[in-house]
Amino acid sequence: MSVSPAARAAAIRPGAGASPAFLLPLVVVAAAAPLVTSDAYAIGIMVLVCIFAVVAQAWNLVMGVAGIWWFGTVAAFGLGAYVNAILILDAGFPALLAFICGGLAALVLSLVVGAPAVRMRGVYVVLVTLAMHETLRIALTNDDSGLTGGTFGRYGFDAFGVADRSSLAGVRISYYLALLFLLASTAFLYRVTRSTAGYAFRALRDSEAYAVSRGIGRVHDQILVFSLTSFFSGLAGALYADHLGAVSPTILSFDQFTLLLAMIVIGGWGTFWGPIAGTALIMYVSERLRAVEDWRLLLLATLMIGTIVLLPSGLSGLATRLRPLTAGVRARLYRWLEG
Amino acid sequence: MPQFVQFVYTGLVIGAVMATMGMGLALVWGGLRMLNMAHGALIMVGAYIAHYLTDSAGLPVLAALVVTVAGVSALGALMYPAIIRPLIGRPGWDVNVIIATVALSLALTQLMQLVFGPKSKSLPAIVTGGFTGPAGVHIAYQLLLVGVVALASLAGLGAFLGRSRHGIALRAVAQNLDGARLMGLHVGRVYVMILALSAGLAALSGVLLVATGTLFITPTMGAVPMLQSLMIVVLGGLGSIKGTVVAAVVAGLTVSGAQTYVSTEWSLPVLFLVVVLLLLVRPSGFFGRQERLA
Repeated sequence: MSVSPAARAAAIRPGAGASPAFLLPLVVVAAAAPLVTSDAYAIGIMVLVCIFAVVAQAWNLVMGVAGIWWFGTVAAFGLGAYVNAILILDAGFPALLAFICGGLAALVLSLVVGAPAVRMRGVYVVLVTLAMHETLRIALTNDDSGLTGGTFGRYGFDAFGVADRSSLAGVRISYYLALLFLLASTAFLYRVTRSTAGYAFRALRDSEAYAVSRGIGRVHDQILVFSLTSFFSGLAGALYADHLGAVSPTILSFDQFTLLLAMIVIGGWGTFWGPIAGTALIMYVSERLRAVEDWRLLLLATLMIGTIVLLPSGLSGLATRLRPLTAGVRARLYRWLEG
Repeated sequence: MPQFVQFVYTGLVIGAVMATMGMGLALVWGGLRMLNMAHGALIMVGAYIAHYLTDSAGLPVLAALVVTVAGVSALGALMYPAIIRPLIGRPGWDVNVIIATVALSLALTQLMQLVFGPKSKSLPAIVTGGFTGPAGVHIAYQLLLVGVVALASLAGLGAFLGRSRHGIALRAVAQNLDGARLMGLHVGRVYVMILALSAGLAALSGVLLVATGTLFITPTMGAVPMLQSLMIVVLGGLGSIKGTVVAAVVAGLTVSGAQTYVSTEWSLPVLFLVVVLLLLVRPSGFFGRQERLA
């Protein structure tokens, strides 16, 4: 039985056979969307979808792909937001520099916490990362030097030349920045998961002893995955702060934490499209539920429990199950795309 | 000197309460190999039910405590058919159950907020007054009673686990699941019992925590006890009963000391620091074997 090199590559590297060409229409639709509608609120929600999708991807990289129970992603997101806001407000940094510093600050935090976490496994990592989250929240809330603004946070700054984000023009700029950020992060994280390092992450997840015996450096690779996750979460946090023009300790609230987790769960752990699709779906459902605001989070939490119990691999698992049904349609689509 | 003795005394009482909440988490960890992230939410639900029973139904606090523990135990038992049964034994069970219980925690938090509103509540004092003991320690009757109830519950739990048929079945499942099955144990029933017992302990510790007067009843009050329980269980050596009690006393003294000498807000980070330092010396906790999960 002979197997073509392309088929073998596709078998070894799932997804490698799929043509990136089919991404193009999606990007075009995403880029055109804010020009079609003039609803500033709706565009604002789309900004949040782009930003949260990056956080979900970053979290998925450490928890889904590398299989480490890392609950420090939201802390990195919050730190990035605060560092960005403080640097712009107090140090007068230009927006781009403050943005990058937000990501770097989150990276440094993950190295501080990652140093002990890398010696630990499972529930110990949960403990260390949750404690980091809570300590950061307490530090930000109880700081009375005025640096973090305590419970009220910091507000009233503009970045990337966007002074009024509630205006249509302002929110459109915010959106294109966020979309650009999402595309760049997605491309980068896609390359990482398909690189040697990405296979090492998965090998360590699936069988640590075997991976180490084949020469994979566990400490090195885990530090790398903590850094990548936190850097992108920190950048996302900085952009989030720029978009809102404000930061407050609610960034680190339990609701926010669980909603971000829900996005990955509903999309599907360890998959490439899962976190992005899940983020869009959760944000959409969440906005629909604004009509019953008091019940919103309760219903979302119930949806999350239902998904884990009935569909543990999320939307992507559903897609896999439906694959045979759509085989004909997909074949025709690819043929059409390739001319 | 009086301040020092006072903090040791308060720390021991808080330690006893922490032991009851830590035991709840440790039992589920030991028996089902799951990290129950809804433990803090169950503590919170217990406090709310006790508040409702004393405030609206007019029950005396100790009677309300009994009803609360029974009610939250039933809630814990319900977790089995709703969440645990469909997930247990399937691939990814250990991380799926963490996420499912995080979601359950949010659901319970939101439910209580919907029913009782966001305003903080408290419980009426059972006894008032106190006396000045040796070395100038002020001993409030209320705190003394809290300590006595916590110790009595722990003693009862110890007797249950050590002597009773059900307690022995629980330990058998925790020690060797296959062995327990081969001896004809109905593992599913033991799981339900463990979940009910753990939730009951959570409710009890919730009421006791509020009764110490250091914690108000709010929808998010479970977060700090959740993290404290997790630290106690990890420090004790995952699933070890003896270790959990020792770790709870250490944690109680640390929290009490931090409240006396640092500040109330920073007691959790201080506890975390102490736990990490102790884990550097003993990576598997006081009475645990090295945990290999990954």
